[in-house]
Amino acid sequence: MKKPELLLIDDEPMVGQRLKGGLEKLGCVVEICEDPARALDLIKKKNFDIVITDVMMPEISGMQVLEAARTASAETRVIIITGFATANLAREAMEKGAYDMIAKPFKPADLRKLVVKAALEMGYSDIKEY
Amino acid sequence: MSIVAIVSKYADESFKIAEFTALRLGYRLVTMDDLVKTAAKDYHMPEKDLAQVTRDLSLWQHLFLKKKLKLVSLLEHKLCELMANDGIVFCGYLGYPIFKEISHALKVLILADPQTGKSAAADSAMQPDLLSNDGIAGWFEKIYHMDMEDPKLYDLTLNLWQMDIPEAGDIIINTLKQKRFEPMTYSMNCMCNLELACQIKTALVEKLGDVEVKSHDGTVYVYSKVFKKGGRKAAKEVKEDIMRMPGVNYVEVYRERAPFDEIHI
Repeated sequence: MKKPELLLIDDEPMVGQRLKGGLEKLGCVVEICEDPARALDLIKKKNFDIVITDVMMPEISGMQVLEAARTASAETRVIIITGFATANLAREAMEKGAYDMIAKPFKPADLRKLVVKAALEMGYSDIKEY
Repeated sequence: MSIVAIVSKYADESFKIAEFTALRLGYRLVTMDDLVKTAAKDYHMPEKDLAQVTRDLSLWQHLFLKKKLKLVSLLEHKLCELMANDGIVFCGYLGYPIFKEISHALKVLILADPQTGKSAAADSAMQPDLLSNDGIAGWFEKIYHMDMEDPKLYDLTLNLWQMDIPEAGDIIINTLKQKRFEPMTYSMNCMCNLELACQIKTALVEKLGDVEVKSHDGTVYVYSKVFKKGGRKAAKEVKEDIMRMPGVNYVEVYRERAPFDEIHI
């Protein structure tokens, strides 16, 4: 059975470590990336179903990741996670095609709900919140 | 559903645009009067007191400032509650600090010809205490320390010298279709945070006067000059009071809007 492929990008290693297990438990294949430049390469090589990205990262911003992911595949759902959330940033993200945005700190369950919603919309019927 | 906030000192014209827009979108129309009536009913307060604080500029010289700020805060809290329920078109001059935080709220300024634009006061001989056009702008400036007609505060500025009411309504409806005005998890959470912050501000404003409250997921940040040197006791009391309120997990108090400048108790 095909599982949704998910890429999580955050330069803070703790974020990936904390979220990976929960996302895998949902039924996703999860790849963690702390280097946004490497994430852009991964996005070019492989069509991820869901990309979760931080915004404020060194050299490459989450907005660039969002644009790259949407260019690579219009089907990719991009979820923005940020500690610098503002109404303007939220609007910019939506305009550039983000699926959703959530402000840090957040409860892992809130992010999992979004991932489940996105995966179900993409036809992955086996995925469910535990 | 998104939110439309129509702000104008021309009460008659802005009401007509709001009514047209709400009808076309199938949204609930909320006017200043509706807000006052709902708040009075829900908070068991005399409607007259709440109405006066939104209408009579001269009251600012007579009533105790903290009391007035509390009434405004109560109305803003009610506005947050109304926004959380459904898509609304709000027509009025209250709540700007709330709307500016919500990415799915389209903020619209309506300008009209001062010679033909009618204020609420011009329309109603029954309510002689209603504010004039300039009175509304003055009220906004007194409360929010901003020029109501500064286009930078809004997403859209519509000038009725150049268009009629249905045209203005159509522009609002078309603008609202843009993806950036769609609700999302962040903006929906913002509304919950703002509702809690307004509730706490209402509880504190009579005690502290000039106070700002922010909240994020149950963590509450209180900013007041009262917490300046010697205000440790006040800060401790405020923390204890707020911690008793439902939905609050943690409280931080600051003497001013500098996030790392905390008074540690």
